[in-house]
Amino acid sequence: MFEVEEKTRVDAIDRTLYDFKDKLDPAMIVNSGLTEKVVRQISLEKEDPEWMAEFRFEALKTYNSLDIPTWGPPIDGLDMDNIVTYVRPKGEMSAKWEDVPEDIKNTFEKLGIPQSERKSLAGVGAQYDSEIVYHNVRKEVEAQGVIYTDIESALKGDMADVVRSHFMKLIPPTDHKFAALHGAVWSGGSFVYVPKGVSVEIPLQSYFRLNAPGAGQFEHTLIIVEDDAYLHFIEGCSAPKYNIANLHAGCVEIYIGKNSRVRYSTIENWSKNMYNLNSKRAIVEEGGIIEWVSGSFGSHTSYLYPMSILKGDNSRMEYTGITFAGEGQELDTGAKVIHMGRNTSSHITTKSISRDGGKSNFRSEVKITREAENSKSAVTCESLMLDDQSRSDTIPVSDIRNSKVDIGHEAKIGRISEDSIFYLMSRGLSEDDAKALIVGGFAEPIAKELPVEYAVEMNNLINLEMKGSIG
Amino acid sequence: MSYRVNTIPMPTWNHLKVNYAPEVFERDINNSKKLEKYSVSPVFDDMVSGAGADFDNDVKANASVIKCKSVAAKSGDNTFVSEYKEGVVRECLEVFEGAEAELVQIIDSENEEQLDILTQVYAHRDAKVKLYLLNLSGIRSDVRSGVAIKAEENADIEVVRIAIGSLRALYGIRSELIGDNSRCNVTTAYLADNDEVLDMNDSTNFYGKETFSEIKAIGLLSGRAYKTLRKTVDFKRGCVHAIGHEG
Repeated sequence: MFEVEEKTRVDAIDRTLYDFKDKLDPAMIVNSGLTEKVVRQISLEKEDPEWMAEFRFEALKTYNSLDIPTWGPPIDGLDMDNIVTYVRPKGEMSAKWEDVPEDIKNTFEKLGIPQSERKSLAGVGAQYDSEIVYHNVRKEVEAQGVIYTDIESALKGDMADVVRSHFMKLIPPTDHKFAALHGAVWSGGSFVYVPKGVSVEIPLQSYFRLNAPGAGQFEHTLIIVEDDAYLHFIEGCSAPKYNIANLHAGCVEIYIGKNSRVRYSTIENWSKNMYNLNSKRAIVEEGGIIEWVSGSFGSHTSYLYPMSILKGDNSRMEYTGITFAGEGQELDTGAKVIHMGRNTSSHITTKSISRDGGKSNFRSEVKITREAENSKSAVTCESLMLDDQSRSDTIPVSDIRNSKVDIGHEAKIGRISEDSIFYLMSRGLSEDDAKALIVGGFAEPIAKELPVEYAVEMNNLINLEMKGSIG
Repeated sequence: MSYRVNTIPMPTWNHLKVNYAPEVFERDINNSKKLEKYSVSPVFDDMVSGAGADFDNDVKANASVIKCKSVAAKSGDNTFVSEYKEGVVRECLEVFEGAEAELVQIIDSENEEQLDILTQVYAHRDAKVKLYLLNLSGIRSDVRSGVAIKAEENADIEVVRIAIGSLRALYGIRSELIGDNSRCNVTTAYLADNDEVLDMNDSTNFYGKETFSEIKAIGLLSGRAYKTLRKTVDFKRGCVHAIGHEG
């Protein structure tokens, strides 16, 4: 008699791709909790310039003075007394994979980072716990004057003044409690500088891997793109699942010069014990464009709302996002935009899928200042709930201070239509396949915005997430 | 006890200052002695207006004017006109199965006058109700209006709100579509000038199947007039094929 192995759509996907754990073997680790002593220890360990050490202590004061946000999903399960804010992995940062400690290198091999680098990236940064362990950029890109390095190197090298004049200026520690936390304990992240007139045709990617249980990751990404330039930056992140809370409170600041364009793509696949309280912000000069492409699949609780400041006339913002909230997850995502220049435009398009009691919230803020004449903004949000235990809320807010503008928002919410399933089944598909096809079709406009490899990863993640709802 | 009004069901970023109206009100909302002076149909007991339960309790406890009307099918002229200037007012309208009614509420406060008004409308099965709320007050007046609506199966409710007066006007309408095929449309026209402040919080909760609601507003602001308009359509479990528009 044969034993038949049950086949599902997710055969090709192995959850261990993200869930594998390395033995905790750090070179240095601070005690859990957030105290002045811990902040001093981090600052000394990182050999901060004096101004940065002071900056951290000021940020800590700010952190202690601010309240936990009350408007979003509950974060009661996050106890800062139990979070380890700095874990330095063994080894120094290297531009050669063979110099990266074996177990860490194996981690990134399993995640496919070196392979992607060879195939389709102009540069890669890989962070493991609190520090960048690998950073490299193609010589031809470097020859164009592009700087892509870890932010600590930039902080102490030729770009030190540039870093100082831009670091946490777009997202000051006073912005919110977790920005202040980031200011106090940040570590790792990337610095990108694209000179005037340079187009980086192949994307750069930073990948953030958090291995240590109960740890936080607080990387800082600073991107400066001068006038008439182009950059596509990809951010990936993952972590194995633990029974205790992990925290991600990164920060991304992007400065976009005149007539420049930046595309910032993210596939977030944190483990489901992660509190993802991330901040991202871009400021766009005249004629510039910021494009955010965001896929949120992991984490226990997410607060993620990339913000764009359209400072220059004729500047533009596009946000395309998808959120997939499964059992036990509450993903609170969206986008913010401030129109300051004339003839500016913003387009926010999001899709969310929730299943098995997952909660998916969409928030947006569109602010049009008095000066932003002839500006346009459109916000579209579509939500799909796969069962009656799931929940989806859409909370768009428009603050309009100018009458010569064109503003619209639209929200749709619903479940998979039984008629659609019936139709597909009448064409020979099983109910499971019909549902998966409908969900895939729902997500397809977002997948189109991603590089092929990431679209495939997103589709795989959707199939993976669908496993619980199929059959 | 202090309380806020016009709280939205799902809060958003505090810095936007839209989660509730900015004012904090202080008044005794546990004054049960006054409640004993009158009784209303129990159908109104658990209804909550868009201004919020605290506002409703405040009005119920301190109302100086209470009007309760009920309309049965085949009754005569079912158009009611109420005019208010100041004070604390509770007005209830219960429209029974298959009946039709119109309530025209005119608010005409004069300068420095203050009016708090709670309006509750219960529409039984197949009932039709039109509610006209006209605020024509003087430019120094202060008006707070909470409206609670509940609609049973196939009931049809139309609300028209004309807001062209008051220095400070807070309006909140909450509709509960509990019956299948029930409908509630809310249309607002506003006009505000000088330093006038308009704060509106309209929401519809969909419970019944194939329920429908449209919340829309159109108007003009001039001078330093300021308007906050919150609109919520909340689809509850079981409201299959419900449709909600807000625009």
